[in-house]
Amino acid sequence: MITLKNVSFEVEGHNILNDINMELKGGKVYGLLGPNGAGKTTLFKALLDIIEYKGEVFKGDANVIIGKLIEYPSFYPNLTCVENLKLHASYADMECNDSIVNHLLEVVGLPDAKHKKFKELSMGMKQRLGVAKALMGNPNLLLLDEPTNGLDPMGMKDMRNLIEQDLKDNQRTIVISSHNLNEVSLVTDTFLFMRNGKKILEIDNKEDIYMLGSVQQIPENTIIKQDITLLKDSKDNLYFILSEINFNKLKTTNDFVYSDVEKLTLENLYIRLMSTDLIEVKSYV
Amino acid sequence: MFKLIKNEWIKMKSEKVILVIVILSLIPLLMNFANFVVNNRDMSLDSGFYFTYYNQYFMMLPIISSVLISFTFYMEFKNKMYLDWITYNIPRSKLLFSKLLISTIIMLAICIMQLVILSVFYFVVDGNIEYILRLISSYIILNVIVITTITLVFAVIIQLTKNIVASISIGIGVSLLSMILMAAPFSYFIPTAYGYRLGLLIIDNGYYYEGDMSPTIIGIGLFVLINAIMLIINLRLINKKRL
Repeated sequence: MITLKNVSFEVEGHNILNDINMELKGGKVYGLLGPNGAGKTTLFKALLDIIEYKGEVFKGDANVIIGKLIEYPSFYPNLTCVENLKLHASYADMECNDSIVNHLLEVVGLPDAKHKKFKELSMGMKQRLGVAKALMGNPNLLLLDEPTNGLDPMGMKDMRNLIEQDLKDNQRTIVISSHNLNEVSLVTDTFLFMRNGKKILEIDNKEDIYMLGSVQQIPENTIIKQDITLLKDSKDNLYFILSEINFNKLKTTNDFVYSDVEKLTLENLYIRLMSTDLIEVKSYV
Repeated sequence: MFKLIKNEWIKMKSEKVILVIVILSLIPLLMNFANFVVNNRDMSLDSGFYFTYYNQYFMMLPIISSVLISFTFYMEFKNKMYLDWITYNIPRSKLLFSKLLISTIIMLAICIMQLVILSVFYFVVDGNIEYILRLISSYIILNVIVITTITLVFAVIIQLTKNIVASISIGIGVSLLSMILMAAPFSYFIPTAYGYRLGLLIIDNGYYYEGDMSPTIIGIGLFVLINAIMLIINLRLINKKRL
């Protein structure tokens, strides 16, 4: 498990990351969602320990291997796929022979592109090679920043299948940052919403529809209580997010006092979160 | 370290810039061979073939050295590989030295190639071994001082600008400035120009500075000081964590 505790990062007085706390568990896929400038890539850089952030990142196992595809698949254009992967392995001090490279290229669906120069690959193939590079050394933390960037619908589907079928395992934590909500929702276990450098909401990806409403009173002694996610705005008004099923169960109880309930898709929830100042609160009022 | 230098070589040899640099470096030699065949068969060191070559090569040397070291860094920026390259679990000072060394090694190879051609040419045409030994000493002094200085200075410039055009333009500027000031009595304040004059001292001491030992002390002292400062700046830049 990787734990971030009060992680902050500022440039010239401007907060890029603002007091981030989160736990990333093994075997789970996290979808990092937020607009441009929300701090997603910077958060990846903090996990990679390449920026001078404040706070702490506990990686548990000291030998945690991190695979990354940050912003774009970067390679040397005049080297072949094999040469690029071997060069990466040499720098990363990883064992790398022909069979390992061949296996990786098989996994990402590029077995026939071994001796093609990187500059000769299509955008989709470049992304796949980027994933192959990220997978070298069998990483237990995989950071994928916009892995479907520039891909056509077929390419996106292939990338999704790759993540679902080949990259997910019990030990590996995968964090995917993307603007493509639908694509992310198909592979993600947990959404992490970010806005202006803050983590504003962490919610499991269980439902297609979210019920968002204003809440005045929450019933005690209900097992559904643990499924309620509470948010507040800057005026300390309290809001809830519930699945449709749990909301229907809960609304029959007398001591659940609420108003202004809306049914929201993931996209609508995202827009609502990004256009307001709502932020998750950990404890019940 | 050997592995890192080998990796840099794999990257560099995939780029056409090596070929361009080799061709550029050969221009003074080719021009003087043409001149030797067509016009002037003067083989004297202080005013003939070597002297003309030496002057033209001195103009070219800062340019090709600056292009080479700038490109070793620029290929990381251009290919968006800098983040990857800098975040491997390798001390950044080692990464820096691998670039400084591959650039120096390539320049060394180019210099040796030219020195061998020059020496063989002088041996065949002139046959004066003493001339050849003085030529070799002069050539080595020029190359060591200019290549070391330019490599370290331009490693700083390219890391700061991340712009190959800016870096090459400054390289051309340095070359022109060194050419303009190389004959000045105070040129020992400029390491490249000092390297030129010190290299010529072996050929004819009339080309060196007048006076006591102070130009030599200042020239060598500044060469060491500037390179030490550049090395420290390089290490600070490469170790700067913020990306």
